[in-house]
Amino acid sequence: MKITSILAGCFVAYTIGANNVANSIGPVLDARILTFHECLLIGAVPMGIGTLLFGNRVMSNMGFNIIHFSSYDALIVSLAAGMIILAASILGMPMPTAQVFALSIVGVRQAKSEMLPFMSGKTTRKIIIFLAVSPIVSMVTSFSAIFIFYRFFI
Amino acid sequence: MCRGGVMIDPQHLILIAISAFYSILMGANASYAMAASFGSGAMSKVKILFLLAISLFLGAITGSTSVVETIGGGIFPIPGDLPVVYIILLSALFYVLIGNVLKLPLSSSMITVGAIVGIGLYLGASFSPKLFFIVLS
Repeated sequence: MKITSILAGCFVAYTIGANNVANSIGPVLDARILTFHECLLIGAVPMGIGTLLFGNRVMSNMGFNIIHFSSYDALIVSLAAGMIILAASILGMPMPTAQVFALSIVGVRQAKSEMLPFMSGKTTRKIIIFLAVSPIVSMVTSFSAIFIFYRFFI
Repeated sequence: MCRGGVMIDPQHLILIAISAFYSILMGANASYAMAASFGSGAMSKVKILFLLAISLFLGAITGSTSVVETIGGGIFPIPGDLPVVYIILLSALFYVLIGNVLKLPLSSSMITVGAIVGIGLYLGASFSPKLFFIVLS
């Protein structure tokens, strides 16, 4: 059972890797400096390094502070999230992978017998709010940055 | 573009460095992939991190072609200007950094797409219908 849940975790990591390198190398590819395969290496190798070095912060927070996972929960969460993200990767859609994963954890939390109210729990609330706010804030930031840049520097 | 021992343009070098740094932060953030398995206490932390890094690497190398095409020009044809690329990468990088510091998982796709859309709004670009589906999802 444990092995299965680890394998499911690897499956999620595989799909997330496929989906997320695009974010860092897509813009670089636009600048037409490097070929596609060089870009892939630039995206993929640092991603592994970053996980090794700093990965435990987010992982511990997600793993312990939302619910107490049993092996079955872990398997279900991983499979549900992994399949959705895999489908998105094949279709070529940049999927909000963290949303998918966090919400599938919250889904399992709701289904459990404790029947907690939806937004209870400090970490859960923080994660959901952060996920909802971040794309908008990022859009506003890049908009104002390019506005300032084109107004004052060109 | 230069290779074979020829000088590389320093501006491009900085851009590549930023992209690599963004990848590092993204890898750190993407560790939520194994959070469920880790939380169930299936394996020690170091082993899980190693497995995670390997799977992320493999996924990135083998399966990412179509998504890369979407981000790089599928949303709207991004002009290949260096400043535009810089701003997309930096504003996305900033938020992933915040996410890592606060230990919150963060969808880098959403952030990058958000940054690209912000630029597109300023440049008055016409968005492709793909964006609609991305936002919906």
